[in-house]
Amino acid sequence: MRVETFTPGNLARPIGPYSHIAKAGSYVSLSGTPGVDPATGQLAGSDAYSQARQILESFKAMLAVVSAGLEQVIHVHVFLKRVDDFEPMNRAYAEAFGGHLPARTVICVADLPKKDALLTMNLTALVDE
Amino acid sequence: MPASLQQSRGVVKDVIRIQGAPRPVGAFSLGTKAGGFIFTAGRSSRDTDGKVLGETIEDQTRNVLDQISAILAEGGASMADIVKATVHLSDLSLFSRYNTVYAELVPEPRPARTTVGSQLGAGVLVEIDVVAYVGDEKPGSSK
Repeated sequence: MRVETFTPGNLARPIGPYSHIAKAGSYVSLSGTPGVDPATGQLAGSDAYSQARQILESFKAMLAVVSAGLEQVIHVHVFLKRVDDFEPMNRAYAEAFGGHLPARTVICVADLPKKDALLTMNLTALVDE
Repeated sequence: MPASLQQSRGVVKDVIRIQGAPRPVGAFSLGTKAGGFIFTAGRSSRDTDGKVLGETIEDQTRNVLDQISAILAEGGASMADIVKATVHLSDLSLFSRYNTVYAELVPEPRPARTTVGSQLGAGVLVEIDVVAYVGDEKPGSSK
């Protein structure tokens, strides 16, 4: 199979017909992910910092499935509902990524599928085949 | 990409064109191919004159995915080769109805996906772009 997909059982289930992870060759794509804490099934907080921090924790868990980490990320796409959440999102983001800062795009959208989610992110990573 | 850069690195990018397909409404290609991947443009449900086709989310989703299928076919890939989809809906109350058609036309195992609510053109309910893997082993059929 040329495109492999993975949906780790230790994360919140996808809310539509998609996988959390798709991999083709060394290219890995993670789906749009809201800040849901897999332990409770609820958003990790009502603020953008808590939600962003949870999203990046979920990303680490997803990347671990393909034996990768945040240092292999090449691009992150961030979708905010409110531009005012740029700063708290950045704070959580910088804490998670540390010294490796991939290319990034941040935009504001009109709405998100997950109720009360303030942001969602997806990413692209390159891993060993 | 400037010709000189393209030359210095060999052919790095192919453009996918389709006879009779709706023309891009701006300065972009329907699809490009590089490094074993196909990147499609964001597609909405329109006829060749740019008029919006279909009034329901079901009809528009089907039309958009048919266009994407045609772009991928031209580049030597199929819907089963999609790695990632990005979907913009004009109204997220359409989420489950769009999911039903999407699940019909995008085979399992399903690719990674991001769906957001966005302001789209008048009458446009859905816009989708995808990245698909065609691999290096298959020389492209793009012209």
